[in-house]
Order: sequence, then C-alpha cells, then structure tokens
Amino acid sequence: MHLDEFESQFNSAVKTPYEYEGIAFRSIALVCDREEGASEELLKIVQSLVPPLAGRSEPQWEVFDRESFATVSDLLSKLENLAPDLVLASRNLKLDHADNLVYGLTNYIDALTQVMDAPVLLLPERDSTSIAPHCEAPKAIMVETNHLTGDNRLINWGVRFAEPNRRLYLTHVEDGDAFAKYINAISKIPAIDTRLAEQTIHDTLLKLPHDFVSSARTSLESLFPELKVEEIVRFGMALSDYESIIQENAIDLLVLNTKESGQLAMNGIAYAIAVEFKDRPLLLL
Amino acid sequence: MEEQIHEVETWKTLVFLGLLSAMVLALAFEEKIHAKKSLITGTFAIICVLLADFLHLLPIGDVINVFGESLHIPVYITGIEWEVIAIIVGASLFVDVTSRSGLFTWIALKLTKASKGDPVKLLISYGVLTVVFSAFLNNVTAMIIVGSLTVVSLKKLDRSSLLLGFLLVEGSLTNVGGLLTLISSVPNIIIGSAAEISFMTFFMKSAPYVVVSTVVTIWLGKRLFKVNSFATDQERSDAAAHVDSFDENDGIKSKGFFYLSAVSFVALIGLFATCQNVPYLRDLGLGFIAIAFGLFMLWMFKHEVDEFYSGLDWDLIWFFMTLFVVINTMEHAQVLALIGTGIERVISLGDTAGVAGLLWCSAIASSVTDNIPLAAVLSKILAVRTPPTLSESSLWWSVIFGANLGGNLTPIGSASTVVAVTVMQKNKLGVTFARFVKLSFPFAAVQLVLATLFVLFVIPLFG
Repeated sequence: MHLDEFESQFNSAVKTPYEYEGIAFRSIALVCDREEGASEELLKIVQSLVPPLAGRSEPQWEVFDRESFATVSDLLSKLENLAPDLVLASRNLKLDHADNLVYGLTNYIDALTQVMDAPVLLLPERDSTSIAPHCEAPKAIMVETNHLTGDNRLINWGVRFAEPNRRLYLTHVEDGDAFAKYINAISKIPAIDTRLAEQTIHDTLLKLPHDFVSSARTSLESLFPELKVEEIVRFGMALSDYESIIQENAIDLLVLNTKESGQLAMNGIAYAIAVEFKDRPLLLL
Repeated sequence: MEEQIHEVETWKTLVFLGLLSAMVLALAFEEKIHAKKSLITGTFAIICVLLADFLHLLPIGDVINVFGESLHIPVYITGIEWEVIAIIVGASLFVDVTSRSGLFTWIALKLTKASKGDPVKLLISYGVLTVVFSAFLNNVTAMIIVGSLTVVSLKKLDRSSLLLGFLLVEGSLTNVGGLLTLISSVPNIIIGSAAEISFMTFFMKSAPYVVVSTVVTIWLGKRLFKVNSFATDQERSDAAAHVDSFDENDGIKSKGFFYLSAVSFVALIGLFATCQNVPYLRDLGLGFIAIAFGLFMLWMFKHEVDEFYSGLDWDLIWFFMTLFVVINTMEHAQVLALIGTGIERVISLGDTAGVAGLLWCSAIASSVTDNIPLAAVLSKILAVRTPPTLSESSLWWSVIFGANLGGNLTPIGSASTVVAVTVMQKNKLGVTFARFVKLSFPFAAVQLVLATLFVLFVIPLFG
C-alpha cells in the first residue's frame, strides 16, 4: 500500500462540475462581402440560424457589407466599437472568386477568430441561391474538443443553440496518435507493465471527459427537460473520425474552440475541421 | 515456551549484549546505512544463531508436542512468535484487498463532505478518522489514507498553509489510535500476547485514554497552528462547493464488493473482540482469524492473488521474523535477564515512580529506535518477572503506552510518523529532524503526561 495510491484515488474523486451560464445576445454582427442589397437578403436568411428564444429580448443586428471595411484592421476596429456578442461571417471573405481557396481560411477569418472575444459563426460555403437550406435553425448541435473537461463556455454556447428541445452532442475525441506514441515509449521501459499502463491510461483519459459530460447532462436535463444531451467520448484523431461522427448523427452545427494559449494561430484540429467541413455552419470560439 | 534456566558465563552474555546494542544502533541509523531493516536484523540473526550454537547456548534438539510426539523443528524457527506474524500477514492482506473496494476512501470523503470544508470541522474529522483507522487497520495505513486525503482536500480548499499543522496532528494521533485495540500496533500485539490480555480487556482499559488524548491533541493542534473557522458566508459557501465536488462513489467499482468489504470488516473486528468466547477460535487465536479473513477476501481477486502477495511488506515481515530469532538468542544468552536487572532498578523506585519511570524510559527509547525490539525485549523481561496476574499489572501498560507514544517525539520514532514526514517532505513543508522535534514536542509531552496519570490512577481502578 503506497502513499501515491491513495493520493491518486482522492485526486480521481475530485470532479470538475459543469456550471451553466445562460448566453444573451444584445447585438450580432454579420460580416460579408456582398453588395448592400445582397447583404440585406443574406441577413434575412442567416437570422434563422440564431432563432430568438422565448422570454429573451431580440438582438440588434448590424451588417458589414463589402463597402463597410477595406482591410482586416479596419474591420476589427469597427467590430471593436460595436462589441457584438456574436459575429456571423461568410467564408472566403473578400477573396477573389477566381481563387479556389481549398487549403485554408482567409486572413479575415483567422483574425476574427483569434482577436475577437466574441465567437464567430462561419457560414457554409454556398452561393446566394443555395445557402438558405443550410442556414435553418440547427436541430443537432455538436460541441467538439479534445479537452472538454472544465470547458463550461464551449458547452454553454452549444446549449444556446440547442435549447430548449434540440439534440446536443457533447463530444470529446482523445488524440489516438499521441496515445499510441506514448504507449510505444512505455513498451520500451522494462519497469512499467505495458498492458496495465495502456489499459489504465486509456480508461482514465476517457473517464475524465465522461465524468464532466455526466455532470453537464444532469445539470442541463434539469434546466431544459426537453433537451436531448448525448455523449460521444472516444479515441480518434483523423478527420475521418470527425466526419463519421458528423454524418452518423446528422450534425448541422459544430461548436469548436479555436484559441490555444501560447500561440497566435488557430488550434490545429479546429483549423483542419474549419477548412474541411465547408458545407455546414461552424461556431468558432 | 517455557524458558529453561541455565547458567551462562558473564563474558558470553556481554558479547551478546554488545551484538544487541550494535543491532539497535544499526536500526537507529538505518537511513545512514542505506539498508533495509530486515537485512540488518537478518544479518544479526545469522551471526547470533551461529555464535550461540558455537558457544552451546541453544537448546538444539527435537520438540515434543502435547501428544508426546517428537518433531524436528530447527531452533531458529521455534524462536519466532508466529501468532504475531500471522496477525500482520493476515491483516495486511485483508486491508489491502478491502481498500480496493473503495470502502476507506468512501468513509474518508463522506466525512470531508460532512465538514463542508470548514477547517476546524476538517481537523476534528480527520483527527477522529486517523484514530479510528489506526485502531482498526494499522497506524501506517491510517497515515497514508488520511495524509493523502488531507493534501488533496486542503489544496482543493486553497488552505495549503494549514497542511503542516494537520499532518502533525494526524501523525501524532496515529500513535494515540494505535493504543485503542490489541491489534492496533505491533507492540500491542507482542505485549498483549505475552501478558495474555484479551482484545476486549485491552479495548476497555485503553479507550478512555484514547478519547481524552484525542480531544486534547486536536484542541492543542487547533491553538498552536491557528486553525480557525471561516469568517464570512462567502468563504463558507465556496468551501462547501469545493468539497461537494468530491465524488465518494468514484472509487467503488462494484457495489457488491463494497458491501461485502464493509460486512467483512465489521465481522473481523467482531471476531477479534469475541475470539476468547468462541469455541475452537479461542484455541486458534487472532492470527488464524486474520489469515482466514485475508484469504477469504482474496477470492474477490482470485486471478490476481500474486499481485497482493507481492504487495505485502516483506521487509516488515522478515524484520519481525529475524528480530524474534535475535531476541530468542538473547534470551538463551541471558542478555534479557541482565537488562531485566537494570529495569528492575527503575521498577524498584516504587509503585508510582517505578511505573512512571518505566513508561518514560520506554517512550524515550522508542523515540530513537524501533519500538518493536523494545516491546519484544521488555515483554520477555516482564513475563519472567511479574506475578501470575500478569494482565493486571500496571507495568505492562507502562510499556504499552511508552512504546506507542514515544514514537511522537521524533520523526523516526514510529513507522507512521515516518510516513507523516514523507508527506511533509513531498509537499515541501521544510520539516527537518530538529523542526519536527520542536513542533511535535508539545503534543508528545501532553500525551505522555496524560498517559502517566492514566496508568498510575485509572488503570488500577479496573482491578
């Protein structure tokens, strides 16, 4: 019987409880690169994405069209003055449509997600005639991260779009490649039982997000009895894993964390998802 | 076993006394030698047996049992107190398996939540928990469980500044709790076995002291380390929310195993308490009960028993076995008789000064060296000296209280204080040998004064 054995047991018993905090929209900005008339038309379409909630005041919408801003800093400065609670932005902002941008996001989107505190709801890549069906109020919302535990804000944003009676998927995909790399290293250390280490680390990595999801589910189901909270906690890493989760569950809004401490660029997997999944709206925090 | 009286030349006795002193010194400087206890006592056991055989001090020959059958048992085997070994092995296995059920962490976390994170209530809860776990598990296990819980919960409550005070109080209370029952500490088992004190008699006589000493120790800890309740409602509600995030069911993998462990634990304590009145079991003793319960619980992990066998503290088990061999050799070399004459001088100071003197001498001796050899040597000496009403003698209680409580005087005084100091060092609390002695002295002094008064004035009331 060892000191560390019981310290580990007690540390494991310390749970991070989920704390709900409602999100109110006082003002929402729509940033697009259409002409004035077309942007008003787009506004009417995308307003369906953020349906008003009963008992809450209607948000103030502000449109930034093609003529409203000339550069990235110009746009950021104007948004800073407005201080919106949410920014809706078109993909490939101010990109020459002759350039078929398939390998990344524009400078505008990079800057909006990393500089602004307000989340960015990235619209699907569709032309003005076909975007409407993809901008209806989402029915299945997926909150996705590889560090879900303790991330109340991410879940609360997902809840804002899912309440009061939609499906909310709380998803944690643990990095399978990194896990395999560490187990491979452990397999070369005689003092550590590889099978035991693999099993216990695997189980512990999944248990932490599972406990947090359980806490969130209990709390949300008491607040919103008609809300369906589902848990997806598993190992994976390849984009195909995310794709299969999205397809299997008919997800029509993804909520992702893009900010990462210690770096200016967008979080790696969030960037990859944002680039790849162009046909549905993404809420980037 | 009946001691055969035989003459031994003085020089031989002195040679063995020198060997015993060298062993005690080696044990005291175990850390400096960088050798485990069992290796030290094992080496001395080999030397003592070889030398004693060479000098014709050992009763070599077959052993005759109660049926008159002659059995060939090596002389070094007959010297070992197997009842003590059986209790230690059986109880260790039982506690190790039972702890996997999450029972002990469940109890500890329930108490933590009941305190709502209030520092004073936490100190009282953890203090009482330390005493109870020390009494019914053992003091090392108690310190490991309560010490690690204290670290986690005080960090969670952002009260790490209180950690040193809490750990000192808990370390001190392990040795107080170790006085509650016959099986709470090894000196109790050795002396209780030699003095033929039953489980219930031991409990009834020691319980009043344990209660008073626990209350006084916690009160002193609260005052010396300025442990106070929260001043504002905000602090109270924040702390309550923090401890509420503990999930006491986290460690419970199977409800069935959890309930089985709880029932078995109560049954084991019940049988220990009533063993003297249960036919057959009274013949087989506490060691048999401990081994039986340990093996019964192992059925829960029938494919992994080797894991539990390897988890046993083999250093401790070998230490006891080889120590008993050394003590047995010392007995044959008349070393114990010689030490007994020295102790006789202390005892002959009178009914009051003699009893008090033996208690304080035992405490001081056990503070600088292991209390187990001390208990083993003194039990042999008192067994030869005292009249037939052995268990009634205050002298036995002087040794029991002194050997247990002396461990609180220094960081090396008992195995549980060593664990407490390890936790302090792991958390970088800056505890040196001298600082520990300075901080723990008020606790040890108060407990020893209380013990002296108890042995002098309360123990005789039991008749």
